[in-house]
Amino acid sequence: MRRNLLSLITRTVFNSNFVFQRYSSNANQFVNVKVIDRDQKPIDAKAKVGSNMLDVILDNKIDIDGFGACEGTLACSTCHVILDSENYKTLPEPVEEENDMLDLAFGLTPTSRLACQIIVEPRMKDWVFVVPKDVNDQR
Amino acid sequence: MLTHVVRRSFTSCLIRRSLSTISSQSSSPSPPPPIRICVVGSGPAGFYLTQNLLKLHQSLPVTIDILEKAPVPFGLVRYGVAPDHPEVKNVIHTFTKIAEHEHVRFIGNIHIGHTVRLQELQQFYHIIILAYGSSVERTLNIPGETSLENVFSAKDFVGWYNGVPENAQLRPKLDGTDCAVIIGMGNVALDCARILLSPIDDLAKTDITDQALDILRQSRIRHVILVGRRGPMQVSFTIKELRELTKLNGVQSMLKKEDFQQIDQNMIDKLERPRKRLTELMLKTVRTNQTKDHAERFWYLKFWRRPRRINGKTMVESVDFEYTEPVDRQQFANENLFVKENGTIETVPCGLVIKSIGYYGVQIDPWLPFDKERGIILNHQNRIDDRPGFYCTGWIGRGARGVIVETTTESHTVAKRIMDDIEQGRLQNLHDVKSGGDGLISLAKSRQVRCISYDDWKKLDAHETKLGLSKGKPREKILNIDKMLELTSNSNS
Repeated sequence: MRRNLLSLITRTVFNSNFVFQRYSSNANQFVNVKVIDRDQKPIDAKAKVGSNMLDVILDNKIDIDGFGACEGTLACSTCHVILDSENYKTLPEPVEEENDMLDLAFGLTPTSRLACQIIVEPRMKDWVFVVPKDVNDQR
Repeated sequence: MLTHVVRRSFTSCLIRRSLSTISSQSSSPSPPPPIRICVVGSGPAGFYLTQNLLKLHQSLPVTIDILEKAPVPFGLVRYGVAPDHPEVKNVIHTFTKIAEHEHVRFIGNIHIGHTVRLQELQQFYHIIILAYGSSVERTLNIPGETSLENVFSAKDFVGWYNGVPENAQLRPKLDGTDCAVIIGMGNVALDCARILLSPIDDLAKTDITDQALDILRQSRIRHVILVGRRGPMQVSFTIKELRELTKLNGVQSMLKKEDFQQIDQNMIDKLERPRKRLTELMLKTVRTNQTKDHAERFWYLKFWRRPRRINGKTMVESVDFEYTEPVDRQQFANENLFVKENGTIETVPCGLVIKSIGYYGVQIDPWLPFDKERGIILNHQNRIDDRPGFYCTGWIGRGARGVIVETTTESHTVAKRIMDDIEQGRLQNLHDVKSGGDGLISLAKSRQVRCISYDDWKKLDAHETKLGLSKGKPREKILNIDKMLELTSNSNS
């Protein structure tokens, strides 16, 4: 009887750990986000937690020509996205190298980031990422 | 019975109907002939425009040929981007996908304006877009510039370390002097400085040519002076490249406090973000000048100097600079500052001079409307003046400035303009049947020119990569055009 109780307790603890671990490790967890493309069309995307927003745009096959030219190596500014100011404030500060690249981005705003540097977290559910439209349209 | 999928776009239906009415004699409409598009130039401008134009093929039959003068694609991505910037070359993965698209054909080794005239392209294509960049360097036009040895344009120096066949024999002498002067303060000037100052072991792991490595290994150059005509608020280089130079192993930045004295917080606060951060980094670099104890190489910025004369017997020995000053001192921080000379001459001894003062484009055919002063094609919103069906994009249309992001952004706009012209019926001859690349390649063949396909390039690519692998480099570029052509025709690697 005691052995059964012991094994029951042990199993429960293990199972709880397993359950706890499953929720806290975010294995294969996705959140829904919205991407506004260059023509101002809103697109729903499933963002994998732990990946970056450039990966998200590529994985969801969102067609934005020239986006992410350097493939996330902080050597260009083509994955420039604009966030709303509340969300922007909650992101960790950009590293120096990201700021250096943002300097060259078209249509830079105070709430601009490079998508390849934004790591998806569960709290980003329903966030909106705007790809700036061409500034060359005026030329 | 309908062999093509019914498309939803109303305008493209209109175009298709008008195209098929003219070409069809039977009672059922035949599919319209494909619109043949030709892009002249296979650098970023050509490839990104092609990527954007491929959207057309969702509603219309279209083929896009990317023509290239060299036997190899990618333009400045292969021949301009510095060897220690491999991440910038990641764009090649995207370009490869584009080139291998079923409606895209890369045609290399064809020199438009030479083997085939520009107007002749109209036999084969409905729409022609010129994206051939800016290949000529600006000159100083001062005594000694062309007569003395070891005076190079940055275009040739960069071409030399990047394996451009026509620069393979450059042979700069780097072992007879410890001082190099680079005229110009743009990113290309910084690239040249970095290649001269970087530890050789770091360079040896890049795709810099072996030939350049051998010469750099013998280099005695310890001081690199970048000289600008104006002041610290007019530098053209950007922050990433400057930061890179300040962090180079074994290299000490030697910026002078006096050059930056006039810059106060008030001035800085008024600047746009990119210029502000760049200026702040220069000021920070001045303050931390003395920190590197074991530096063996040094770089300097000399402002307010205009080159007047290059001196020497057979090889350069010094450069005479005339001091300049702002015409209006209040404009010190203005990017468009005008300066005037003040008569004082300074002679800077050096054994190597690199001129890095910009590029301009060439008029590849007299029939092409061209602004020789600015070195760009005459155009309005990318439509070439008085040449319906002809467009331009990239540096040849707007001037030789800007990095990849300018090009990707522009190509989106240019593609929209072309697609708009198609849909609004502004292009008259779209109903003609044209042979595109097949016709062009036949014509080239009749003129003894063998065109290179993308598959041919891949053979050369594999060979260069394999050669590089054995040396711990991403690739070893082949420097000889004949050898390149030979390697693109071998069926075995």
